[in-house]
Amino acid sequence: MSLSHDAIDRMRKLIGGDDDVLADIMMSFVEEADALCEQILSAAAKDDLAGLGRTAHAIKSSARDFGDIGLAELCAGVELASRQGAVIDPPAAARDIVAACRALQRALSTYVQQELSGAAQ
Amino acid sequence: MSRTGFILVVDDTRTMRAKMAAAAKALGHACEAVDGGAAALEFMRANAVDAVLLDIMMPEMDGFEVLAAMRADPRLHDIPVIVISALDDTESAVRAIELGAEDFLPKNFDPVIFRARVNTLLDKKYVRDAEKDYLHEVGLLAKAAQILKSGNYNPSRLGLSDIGKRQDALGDLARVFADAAQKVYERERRLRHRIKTLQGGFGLVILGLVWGLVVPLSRMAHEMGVPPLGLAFWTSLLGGLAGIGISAFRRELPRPDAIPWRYFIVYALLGAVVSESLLFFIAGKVEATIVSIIVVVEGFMVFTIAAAMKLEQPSLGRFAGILLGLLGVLLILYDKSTEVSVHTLLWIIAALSIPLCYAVEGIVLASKRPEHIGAIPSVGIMQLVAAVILLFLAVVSDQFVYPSLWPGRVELTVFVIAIASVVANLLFLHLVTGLGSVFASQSSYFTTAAGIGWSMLLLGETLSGWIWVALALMGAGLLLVGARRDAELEVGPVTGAS
Repeated sequence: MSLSHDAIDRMRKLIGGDDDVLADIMMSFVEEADALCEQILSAAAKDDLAGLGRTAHAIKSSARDFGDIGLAELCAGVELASRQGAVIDPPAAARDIVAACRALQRALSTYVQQELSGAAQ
Repeated sequence: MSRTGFILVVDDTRTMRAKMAAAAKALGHACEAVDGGAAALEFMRANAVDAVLLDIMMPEMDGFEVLAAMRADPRLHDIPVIVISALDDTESAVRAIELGAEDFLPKNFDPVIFRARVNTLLDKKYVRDAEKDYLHEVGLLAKAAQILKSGNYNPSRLGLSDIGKRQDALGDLARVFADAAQKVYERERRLRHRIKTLQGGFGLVILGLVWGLVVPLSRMAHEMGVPPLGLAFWTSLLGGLAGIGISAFRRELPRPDAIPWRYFIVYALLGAVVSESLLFFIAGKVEATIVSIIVVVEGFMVFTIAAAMKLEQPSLGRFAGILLGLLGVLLILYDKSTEVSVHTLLWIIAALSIPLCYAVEGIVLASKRPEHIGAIPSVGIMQLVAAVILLFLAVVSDQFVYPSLWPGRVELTVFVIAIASVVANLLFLHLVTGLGSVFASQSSYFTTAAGIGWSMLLLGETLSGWIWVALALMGAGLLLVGARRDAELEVGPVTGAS
């Protein structure tokens, strides 16, 4: 399970406890994740370290918000390496992030369906 | 809770935008979210924003560039910004603060920290806004003091009405300023009105004296055999040339295509062609004193027409003033009625068309006068237009007069009538445009009085003591009619609780 209930509770508190809004935010990531995955794969394929680092940064922020520490750390490592120009295998790093990102996407989708009664759908 | 504000969220990722906007709305603030730096700047330039939550790392235009653009734009310079950066990116946060950001927050911020920072930021912003408003209003007050120092006490020029609504010491000061200015302004306005009435009264006396001279001179010209249309032509031509010459010397002549010719043709017909020809003609048939008396009916005619056209304020006092003037005339007529024949009385009735012309002329001048043409060129153009019309009429009716090579009594009389005519027209125009047609029509009383006086002096005509009673009544009538009120903006004192 890549979601942290503590992180989700904190976000719920941040937004005033409205599950509809929470579901909206989660579904924002679910819908945005495909584009982010495509961007990071594309940047890696073109050896575009700036693009790779920027997309890793964007995924990292959301991953932290939802408590997916593994994905956040993976992204943080790629972001730092990109800034230093030291990504050893960009396509492999991108694939790792994409795999973890898809997992978070599925987890969020399931959470919304099961815990929030599909509020945002 | 702090006051609510309008917060702009700027982040390129949809999830972060949604989260930050929801967090801001949960605190009771209004919020708008945009996905990039350029969109943020565009939004801030078009909308009032109280605070910005700004992501640093964005494609195309990053947060640093947004901050730099905001600092360079006076309209956006004072909007407070909280940058959103990763906890491990303190370098970016420091750089953003150096670029003018007020604070920073980590991306996965704590709700309590978020509330504290956003609300503190807004409170600081409101205090700063209030200080800026206060300083701005202190500046306005200082400017008002400068305006007062320069001698302008018109309250509407001080711009203190908004400050006067304040409930603090600054508001008290503004109200004291405005009240004092209002009192001085009212006093000055009354004084100006009094001076204007006095100046107008003096103008009426001069106009009466000058125009009153024309009646006995016209009778003298008639006795010398000068035909009315010929006399009117030379009078208009000389007057017109004088007016145009003075205007050309003062560079006040309008371009021919800027002259409203139709207006000047009507003006010429009323002010010279018909009125003066009639005057010169009737002066040969009726005693100069009688013609002078008839001229006074103009005042009643002008008031009636102007009141009907709503050009002047009809009031009981002004109406009473006109009636007093008429009463004076009736006294004079009563005095003269025992001396004149029925034939002369018919000419007297015909002579009523002279003041009617003057009355309509006064109304036309007051309501239609072209603002871009000065008084002297106006009179000069009118007289020349009249001269052209009169030349035609004089030639057709065989009344044209050829001046002799050596000027004699005839030429001197015509010359004096022309000078008197142009001076009287100028004064009349000045009075009509400055003080209104009803006030200017009071000149007819003085024209009558002066006409009688000149007739007695030049022609040896006599009048009884009743004339002096009549003159006293005319003077009282003049005071009652008064000058037209200024069209100046009347502003009440700034009000507000003290």
